[in-house]
Amino acid sequence: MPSDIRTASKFRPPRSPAGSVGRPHLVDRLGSPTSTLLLIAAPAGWGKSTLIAEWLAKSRDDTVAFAALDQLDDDPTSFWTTVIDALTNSGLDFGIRVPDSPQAGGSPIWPAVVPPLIDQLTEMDDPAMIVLDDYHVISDPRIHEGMRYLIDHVPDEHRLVIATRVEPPLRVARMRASGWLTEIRSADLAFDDDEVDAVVRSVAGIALPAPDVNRLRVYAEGWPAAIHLAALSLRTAEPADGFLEGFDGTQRHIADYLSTEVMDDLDPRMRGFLTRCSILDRLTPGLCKTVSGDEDAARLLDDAEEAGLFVISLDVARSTFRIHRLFRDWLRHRLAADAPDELPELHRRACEWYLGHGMPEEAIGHSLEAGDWDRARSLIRDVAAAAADNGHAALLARWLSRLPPDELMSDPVLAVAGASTAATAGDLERARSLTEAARNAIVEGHEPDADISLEAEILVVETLLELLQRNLLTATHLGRQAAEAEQDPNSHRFGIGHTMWATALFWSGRPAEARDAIQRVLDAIHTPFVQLMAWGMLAASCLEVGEVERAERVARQARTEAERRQSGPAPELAMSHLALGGALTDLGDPAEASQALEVGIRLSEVWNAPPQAAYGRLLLARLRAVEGDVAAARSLIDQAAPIVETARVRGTLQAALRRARAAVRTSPRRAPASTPIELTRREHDILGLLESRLSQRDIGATLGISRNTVKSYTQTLYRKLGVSSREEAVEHGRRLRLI
Amino acid sequence: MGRWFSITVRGRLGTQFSSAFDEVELRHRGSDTVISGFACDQSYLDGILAHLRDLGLEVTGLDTKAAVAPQARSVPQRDPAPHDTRRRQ
Repeated sequence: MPSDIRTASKFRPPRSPAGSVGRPHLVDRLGSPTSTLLLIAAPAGWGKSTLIAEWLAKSRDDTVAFAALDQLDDDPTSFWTTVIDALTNSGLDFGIRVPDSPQAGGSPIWPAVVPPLIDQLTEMDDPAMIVLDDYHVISDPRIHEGMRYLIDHVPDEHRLVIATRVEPPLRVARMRASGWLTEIRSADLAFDDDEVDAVVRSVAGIALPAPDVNRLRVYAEGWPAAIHLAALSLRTAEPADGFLEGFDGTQRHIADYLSTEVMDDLDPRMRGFLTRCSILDRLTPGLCKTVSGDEDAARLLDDAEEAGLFVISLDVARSTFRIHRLFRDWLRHRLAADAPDELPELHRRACEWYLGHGMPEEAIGHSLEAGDWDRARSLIRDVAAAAADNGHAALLARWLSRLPPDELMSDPVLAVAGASTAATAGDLERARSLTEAARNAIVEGHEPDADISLEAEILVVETLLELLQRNLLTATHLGRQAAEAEQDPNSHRFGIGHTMWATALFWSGRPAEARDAIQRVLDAIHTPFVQLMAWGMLAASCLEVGEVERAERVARQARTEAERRQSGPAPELAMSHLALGGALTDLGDPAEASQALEVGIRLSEVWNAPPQAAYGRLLLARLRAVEGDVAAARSLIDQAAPIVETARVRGTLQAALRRARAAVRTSPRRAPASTPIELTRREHDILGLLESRLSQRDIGATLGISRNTVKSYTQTLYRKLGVSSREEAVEHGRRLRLI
Repeated sequence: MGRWFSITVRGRLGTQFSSAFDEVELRHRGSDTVISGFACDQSYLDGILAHLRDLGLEVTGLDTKAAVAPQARSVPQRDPAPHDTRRRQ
């Protein structure tokens, strides 16, 4: 028997439960070949899984990748791993590896999974189906984002099936409009009179008079779960007893009323067994035996399933079951009300069983439910490092949020882990109070074996906090300490620490060392904004050592990546803009260079980083001098010079200042008509197009640049030519044989 | 039978929300956002509310009104104003 009951049942389509009635009209609709997306959306107890079971039983010849999602899948890495595993289980081994994303705010991982998946599906000869049951457990927006992409691009011949209790945020309306969507909703799943009659006959073994059948359907509003419960209670009650009188017409009350009826009819042993086992999400004979203390767990599970008591087997071998959500919630409620003292002990037993079977994540959930904080803390500590490195940061954050604040604050390891997830999620206040708590806990000796990594981790979180508050200088200082404290080159601490350390090297006038330091750790950085900073620093270092083309390439890559993430004009992009501007000055594209430098200077000011803004002004001064605008260059140098003089670290700033001054000395000045005018290739192209009748917008379209860029080029042209209109520019250009 | 709904949320919502549900209408009212549309059933409205919760948004108002006639869901719905439904009678 597989030890991992989660994966054993996860990828097996559900089986039709005992007493269910066939629903051929709905199965036919699901079989409609025109839709690529099938959405089954209805609350608990409307028969979604049962319908899927009936349908899939009839589509045995098709390739079906099935996955029943659960709470552990609400994490991007887990989710896509589950999808890929489901495909592999169905025989489609695409060899796609799901990357880890160790930080909560990390870059999305779906771009590494979904496009290759679509490519593989496109190349298949036979149609395949991907069925995701219980999609409502997914709340992570990054997962929805990947799913939207999948829905948009899945090839027509394949099908995607989503069953969920609530409408998924997947923007499906446009598919509905184009007919690519088939929907089955509660209105479709509601029983009609014939189906009510069939269920009562099959479950209770009696036939109700037609008026009672109709009455039952109307009261329950066609809700299959309620009708099934009613049929169960009819096994012992006589219709003539007037049991229908107890209904008051609202669905929740019907479920409560009927559950009570059904439970009171059970023998006490079965009742106790089901009630205790209701704390479990998945039931196996061994687990149920441990939790309920009943030696006959296997038989009781079989009996409950046979009797249609909302216990559903999840696999053909009948080794794993679940209790229907509706009935389970009712049982849990009953347990909490009748035997609250027993609950912690039941969860403790479940926790031990899961631990003994190598499933620490499930064990953690139960230890938290048991309120066994010591146990929970030690279990979370065991998996925390692995969880962060395997991309389960979202899961880790949820566990930590379930610990009482005192328990979290007094444990330095967990406090730091919590601070780290809070910082990357942008919750500065929580991150700060948790880092403080971690430091206090270490001082108070709660952590006798506080090691160097813990110190490095605290420094990294503090570095992140300073970065997020835009205190670049303090962050550099802290990052350097973190880099010195951390020894493991693969840890994210190492990556972040070294980025900040490289920043310090760069400013102290050692760009070649800064470049090498960043290159070494680029792969170990997973926090998006630190990644953008690292790229910016790499680009600037390349610029300073004269690798101009590489500087341009890296800076553009950073900008493209930021655009893809829609992070807006982020301050962490400042260095990339500055490096791009500096590189383009040398590559002869002054218009774009000027734009990039101005953006970079503005963002540096947002960063609260005067030295960086001064660096940008010096790059811009050089550009202006090269263009011949000496006055502008001088004014920029005047603004920057005092900051260079007072800066704590001066190496690179002084070099930039020297270059800017040299450029002023050798500036071509504003060109008098007699000296030859040098145009860049771009300016030359634009001048040629100015001769035509094309608008600025059309010129932009012809050259593949924006209208604003054209405008900026045109102004530079006018300045170089000493003219003030398009006509004059063309005329002058002709005279100088530039056109 | 479905219901018209109108949900008021604190803060100004943008594309983040409309990229999730493409049939709802977003309007800014002061510093709030009003999300309105037609929910064909309970699961639809639950889905919208669940997504708002997952995005950490604070719902400050919820109003629904029973639709008098069943709606064709493929028609994008505009304003859930009462006169609209009255005209349908």
